[in-house]
Amino acid sequence: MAPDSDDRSGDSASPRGEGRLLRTARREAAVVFAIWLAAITYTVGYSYTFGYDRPVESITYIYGVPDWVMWGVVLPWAVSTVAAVWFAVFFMTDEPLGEEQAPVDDFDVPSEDWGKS
Amino acid sequence: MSGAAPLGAVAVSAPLAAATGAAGLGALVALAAVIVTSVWLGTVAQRAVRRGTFVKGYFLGNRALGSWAMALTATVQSGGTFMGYPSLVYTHGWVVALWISSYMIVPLASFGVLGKRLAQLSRRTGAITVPDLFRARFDSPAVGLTASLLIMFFLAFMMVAQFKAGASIMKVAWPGAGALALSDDLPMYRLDPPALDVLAKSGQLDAGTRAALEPLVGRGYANRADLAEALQTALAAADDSADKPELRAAIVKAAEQTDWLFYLGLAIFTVTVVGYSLVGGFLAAVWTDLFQSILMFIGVIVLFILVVPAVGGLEVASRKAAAATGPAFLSGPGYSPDGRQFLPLGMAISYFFFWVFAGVGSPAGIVRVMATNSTNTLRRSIVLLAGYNWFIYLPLIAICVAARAVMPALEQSDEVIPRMSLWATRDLPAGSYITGLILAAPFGAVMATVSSYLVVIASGLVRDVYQKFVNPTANDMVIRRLTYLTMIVMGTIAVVANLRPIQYLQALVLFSGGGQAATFVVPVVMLAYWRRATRAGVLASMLGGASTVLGLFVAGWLGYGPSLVGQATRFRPYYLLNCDPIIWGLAVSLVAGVGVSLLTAPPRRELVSKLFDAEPGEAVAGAV
Repeated sequence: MAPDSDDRSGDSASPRGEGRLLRTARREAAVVFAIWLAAITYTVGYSYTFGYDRPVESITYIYGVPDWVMWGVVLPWAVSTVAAVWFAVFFMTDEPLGEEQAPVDDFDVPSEDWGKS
Repeated sequence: MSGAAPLGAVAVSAPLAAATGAAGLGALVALAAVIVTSVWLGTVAQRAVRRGTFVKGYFLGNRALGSWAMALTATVQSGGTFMGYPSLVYTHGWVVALWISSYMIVPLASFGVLGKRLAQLSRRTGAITVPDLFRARFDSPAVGLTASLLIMFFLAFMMVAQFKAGASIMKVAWPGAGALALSDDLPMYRLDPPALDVLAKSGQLDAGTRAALEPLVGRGYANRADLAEALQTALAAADDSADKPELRAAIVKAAEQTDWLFYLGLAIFTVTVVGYSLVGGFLAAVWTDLFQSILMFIGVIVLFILVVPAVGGLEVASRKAAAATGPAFLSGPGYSPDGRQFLPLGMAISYFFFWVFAGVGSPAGIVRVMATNSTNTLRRSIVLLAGYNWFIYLPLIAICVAARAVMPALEQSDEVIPRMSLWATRDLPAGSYITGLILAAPFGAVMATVSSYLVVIASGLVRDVYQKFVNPTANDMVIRRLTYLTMIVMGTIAVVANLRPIQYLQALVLFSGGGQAATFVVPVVMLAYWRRATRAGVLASMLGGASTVLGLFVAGWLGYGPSLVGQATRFRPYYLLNCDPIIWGLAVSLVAGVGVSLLTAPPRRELVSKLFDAEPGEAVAGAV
């Protein structure tokens, strides 16, 4: 693979700076990743600790669901659902998506314009 | 189903038998309704597509997807998900709740991580397809072509296999066609009593030999060799004069399930799905997908409400199910008759990656977030899908645990949902139509999957290969004709490939989903958020992830790796350290992508700035 043509070092920050959409999107992605990490740690951790190789007589039921499934899967699922609603309603921001542009790298005449004229 | 049901299932089947004929009719009516609705949606989609220009309308629905269409279609649902998952709960018990549990994060991950940014980037670059995005972001036709070829590779496998699922469902929906095997992996050989009756009447089969065959009746065999082996054992146990090669050949022939009904099903399925996809493109795929998701939702909720009280509550059901199987049905790593470890710790971790990353990284899903009409749609989609998943996946566990209590010995665990719906609706006036609806939902899911893959593959061949490398100035008419031609050719290839029906669909779903995730998750995150990512880095990331997953599947196919982990299937990967290949694929992809990017020269400043920095006012660099 040939190196890309410009080899100025470091990140190519620009005088204009990154747009608002990109900054909020990065932050939102990080929060989702954190929620995922918390969910896998708790769900798999709890279920493995309390749900594996249990003697059958020690299992109790909550609304008919074995206790470890209730606390290890159903509860975090409920919390995640609430978290998703919080994220969507209160945390994630609306941004304009920008104008549609013709392909940057393409042909002389972008195919999209054939039907318009 | 005839009177002579398989021995183990007699107690279960007898009360069902009366209802089966009617259910067959209900199923056929429901399937016909699904087909008619899909074709109708296709023609409606065609009108919507015509409003814009061909490429953008046909492949991307003019970037106008609303939240319902987005939420209920852009995630990893397929025929395999809805048919395979209930079967696993029935087989292995409550631990499957842990197996599926990462769906709790899927709504956030699918729309909250990349949606906003990809919707913006695809507008800024004018990208119609996922490879378009890669090509524009890295200013490299090679990266675009690689992405395109990898997408086509993973999707084509699965699409061809889905044709078999569609044809099988059509076949068993025929009234009197036999068992309710809605299985996506319908066994290709099975000894049914009517077939043996025919042999007996023609004088080839005497009563003694017939009795010797009784243990084999009703069992499914994946291929000719398996059946032949079972026959030899059974006949050798009977008197030796019965063991004649020509008799064995006749029995094998009689057991062949690929009869004209399968081919009729294949023909109807292919014409329908290729037809409406061709007419309506991307929007037809999305709308039929939405339609089946709603069907599935109604079916599951109705079934849940009927089943749980009828079995006397979930606790009673759980205890009965555990009594019928073993204590492992109630805990991890799950019950298995042969002592395999269905979900050891490594697999539990793997599946918490699997569904989330397969959702984020699936190109068919990425295309849909590119088609969103606004960020508000993405936010509403998160809420809708979170609610949908809660009401689909958790009730299905309850239904299938109850099924194990009511019908402890199903021969084909894939039949669990249709059989439960027959059982639950047996006294209801319109019961057979409810069952029909529940049978039709997975059929709709299979059609929707095939349809969306047809569109993605056609866009790959026509736009990413033909338009970029063969004829860059092709006009609308040429592109349109070529797209139609591509779809017809793909449909034909899928039919030809299924003349000898494809096996192991369930495993192919995991291969294709895991492969796509390992190939695309890291590169797409690099593309969207990392300014320093380079061409070489993103290529290394894609190829590293894809080849790792592929390598582990090839190793497993060759017989390496632990055999008592995960699902029972012959097409299985090498579960290195008890983990699914997706873990190793993602790890290699991440290390290769970051490592190679840092070792190569940084990308051009103008290129990155154009896609990462705020746009200067209103100025739009249109190429017209």
